[in-house]
Amino acid sequence: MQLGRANILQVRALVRFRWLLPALLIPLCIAMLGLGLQAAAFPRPPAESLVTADMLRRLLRYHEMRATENIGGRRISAVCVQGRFSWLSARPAFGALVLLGDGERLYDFGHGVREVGRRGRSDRADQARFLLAGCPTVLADRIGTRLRDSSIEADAASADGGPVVAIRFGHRRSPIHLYVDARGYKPVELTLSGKDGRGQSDLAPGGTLVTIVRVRRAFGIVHEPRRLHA
Amino acid sequence: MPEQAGDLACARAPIRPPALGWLAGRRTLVLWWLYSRGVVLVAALVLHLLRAPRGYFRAAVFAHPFGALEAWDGVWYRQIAERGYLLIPGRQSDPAFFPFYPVLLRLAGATGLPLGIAGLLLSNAFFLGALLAFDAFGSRIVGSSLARRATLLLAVFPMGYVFSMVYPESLALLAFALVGLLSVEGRWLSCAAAAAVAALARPEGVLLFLPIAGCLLSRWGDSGPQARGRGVAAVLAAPAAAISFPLYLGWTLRNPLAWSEAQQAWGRSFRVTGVWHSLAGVGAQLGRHPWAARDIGFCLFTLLLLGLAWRAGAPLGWTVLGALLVLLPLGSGSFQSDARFGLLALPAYWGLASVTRRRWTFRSIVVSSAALLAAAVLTLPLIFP
Repeated sequence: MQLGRANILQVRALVRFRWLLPALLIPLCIAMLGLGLQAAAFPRPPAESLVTADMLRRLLRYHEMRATENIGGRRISAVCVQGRFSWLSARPAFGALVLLGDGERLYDFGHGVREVGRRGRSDRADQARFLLAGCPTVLADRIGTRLRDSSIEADAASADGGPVVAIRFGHRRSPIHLYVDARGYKPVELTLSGKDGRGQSDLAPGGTLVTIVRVRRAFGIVHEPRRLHA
Repeated sequence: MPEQAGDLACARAPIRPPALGWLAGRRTLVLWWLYSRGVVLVAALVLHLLRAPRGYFRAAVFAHPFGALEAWDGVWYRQIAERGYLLIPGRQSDPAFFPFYPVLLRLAGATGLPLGIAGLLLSNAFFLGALLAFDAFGSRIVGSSLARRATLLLAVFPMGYVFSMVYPESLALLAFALVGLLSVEGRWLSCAAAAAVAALARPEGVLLFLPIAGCLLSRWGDSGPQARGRGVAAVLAAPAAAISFPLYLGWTLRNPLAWSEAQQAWGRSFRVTGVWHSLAGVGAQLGRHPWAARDIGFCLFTLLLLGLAWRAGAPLGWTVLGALLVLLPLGSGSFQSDARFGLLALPAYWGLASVTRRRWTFRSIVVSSAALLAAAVLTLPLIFP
């Protein structure tokens, strides 16, 4: 008798709330249908584009890069510091500063690579030095521009005995290879080849406060209230 | 005798398919659609011939007769239709754009039509559908006379050139109007489908749960279990459809947050203090970009019209949705494109129509709107919608 009453109560409850079933099932079907529609309609990006995009995300986390450049058998250290600086104008602008081991100072605030104390754009050799310093946004910008055109190649390779991913970009006649650690996509090496210059650099992302202050002082940026990152 | 006369009348009446007969009853709307789209297309053609003002357009945009209508975000929608999505960190990339319009572009493109032309045809056809649906919806809410005037004003609304561009706004407008119509008629399953389309076409579509819920609540007591279930499903349809987009991005790009990351690169990272920054920075925005006056003006105008619509009897859910359409984007700290976002605030057109009861008022607003519509197309190279 008790069991019968319980059953009746359950049935009544089921009848009372039976509207919940379509209320939940229909939206679920809509979500699945939407997912299926998109999956059927659009092509998936190539795996190497996804790897490169992941690498770019990692690269953009860094705001400083230390490098040991090797051009024509000559080794020289370089430090890149990037951020918003009110250096060239009163209004802060985003730019990259590169201080080379021999004291040469190169910078790019969106108008091409220039050298402090020299008019006009720098020559090819300085441009190669600037690029080999491995400024994260400079590399990310070059790679990102070409990523949509699928003109980027990402291949498994090895460097210093460890597994890396070699990302090839740049013009066909002057390719640039960026080698990143296969696990965490940390940049480890950059090579330039072709008519625009040849060279190689070992990269170490990040910089100590002492290094950053040294670069800023070299460029005469001392009293910057705070540095804003991109 | 009367029966015979009736028979004769039936015999003389032209035999039309039901759809054509229905359309004939809405001849005025079709004509106004033709006129207003004529204004937009002719203005675009003039831009093509003059190749000026050059603004931000490259020479390639002017090469095509309707290139201006395929520009700005139209380039991104075509790119998605062609190649699918790809998030490029640190740069503006396409996961910021919702998928349903590019899906339709891709389908239309499969017929062999160039994607730009396919987009123009789709957008203009959707706009005709939107006018018809909005008229039917309005006549059930504010009466046929006010609804008709509102629909005609929508046809020539100055920012309405966007409905003829390779943008999803006309599709979203159609879906919004259908949601209104179908919810009022209690056709919940169809309403759920329309809400899902809206939410997959534009992110604002998610907000449709508000007016649907309002409509459902108003008739909850009179509804049976089946209608309640379907009604709740219609309320949840838009959010459910919208969720499928991050799910898809998670599957294809291995990043379900790709949409919000892409939005940040487009300068649309939403913050709690964003609205305050938008309002406090009006002067600075106007100083940097004088065109911001357009977006600020239309935002205020839309809010004013929504107030008028509320007085004219617009449902609360739709009025709140309209206000959210122009206020929520301010969370990104700017009024950018707010004029376009306000286009989907359906009650605003009822509000505008409510102050045009006199014939001369209506006519003068129509004439000035049409002039502004043409001017807006001619200045497309200078400012994005």
